[in-house]
Amino acid sequence: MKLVKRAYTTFVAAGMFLVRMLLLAFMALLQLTLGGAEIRPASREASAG
Amino acid sequence: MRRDYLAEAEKKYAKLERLYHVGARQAWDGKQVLGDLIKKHGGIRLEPAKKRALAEIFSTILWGELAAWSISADLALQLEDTEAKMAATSQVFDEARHFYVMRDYLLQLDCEIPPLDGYTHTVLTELLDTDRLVDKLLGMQLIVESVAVTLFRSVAKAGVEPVISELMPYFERDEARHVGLGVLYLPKLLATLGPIEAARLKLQQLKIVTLIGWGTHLKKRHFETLGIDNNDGFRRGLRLNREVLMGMRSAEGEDPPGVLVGDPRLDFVNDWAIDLFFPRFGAVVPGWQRAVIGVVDNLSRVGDRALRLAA
Ligand SMILES: [Fe+2]
Ligand SMILES: [Fe+2]
Repeated sequence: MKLVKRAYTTFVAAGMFLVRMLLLAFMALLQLTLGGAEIRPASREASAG
Repeated sequence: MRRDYLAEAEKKYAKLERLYHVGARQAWDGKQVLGDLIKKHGGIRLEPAKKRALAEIFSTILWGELAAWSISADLALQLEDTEAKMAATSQVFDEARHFYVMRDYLLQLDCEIPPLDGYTHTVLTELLDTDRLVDKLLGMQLIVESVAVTLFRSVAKAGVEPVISELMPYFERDEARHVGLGVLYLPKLLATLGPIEAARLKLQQLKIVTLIGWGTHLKKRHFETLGIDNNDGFRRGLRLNREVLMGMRSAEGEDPPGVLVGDPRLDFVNDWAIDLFFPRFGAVVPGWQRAVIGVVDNLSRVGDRALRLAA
């Protein structure tokens, strides 16, 4: 039963990962064409503390 | 060369043991600390909407602490090196304290504690259920603890409510030691991983990170109610994660196998993702972005329901 549940959650998570990537690509495309969203530089330097 | 390696290993074990001693020295009396803070600020005074939002966020923390408690007890039992066993044992005491302090705080809030969402439930039960020590250490000590530390800092920084804001640094100090256990001990376990196991472990991390990301969407409006900026949180979380992973590099600067290390060259992808999915408070959001984020919010509820089916 645990194995079945795990397989199921992995399936859902994989789907959600895929959807996330597709949406990211879609939004990036919109940003490059329509623009307007705020994209800030590298996280490493941004907002210390 | 071999001598250096031995000296380095010895130093690591000494550090692991030190986590236990520091933990014993810094142990705080949760009843007293919470009681004093409540007295100092004249109780928890917050408008009902914010109370509910706080309960939404901190109920996940409450169950997270309970899971961390059981997982660290598992680690104390299963780890073979006595120094690491000591560090895990000390963590068991910390997590028990975190659990009861959070429980008492939520009781003081005096509003209903919401059920656990599907994302957090999946992450925590799978870390509890697994027999694999590396999965537990990597998932709990590095990923979940890092998320908790970031969240604690965000809550303290947002100044949501003075009692919780002053309580957070106590939690954070303890959690830093727990991350330390993972950083110091994991490389030894990871060194024995074969390529297939390493790939499996990376996928496991991707799964956890994916679930946490969607879970944040699900709770977004509660974060907003409390004035917590997820954009800022993710950026800081990412930096913290990198620091933690850097701590696991060998003396030669090599990453241990099986760890999903963000390639700095891919940083810009993360930056884009954070800014597109979680626009900064006060940022101008164009209509198309608002529309897509609306879809994402709805999908996060669909995923939550799908995962709850397995709960
Ligand atoms: Fe904790
Ligand atoms: Fe912890």
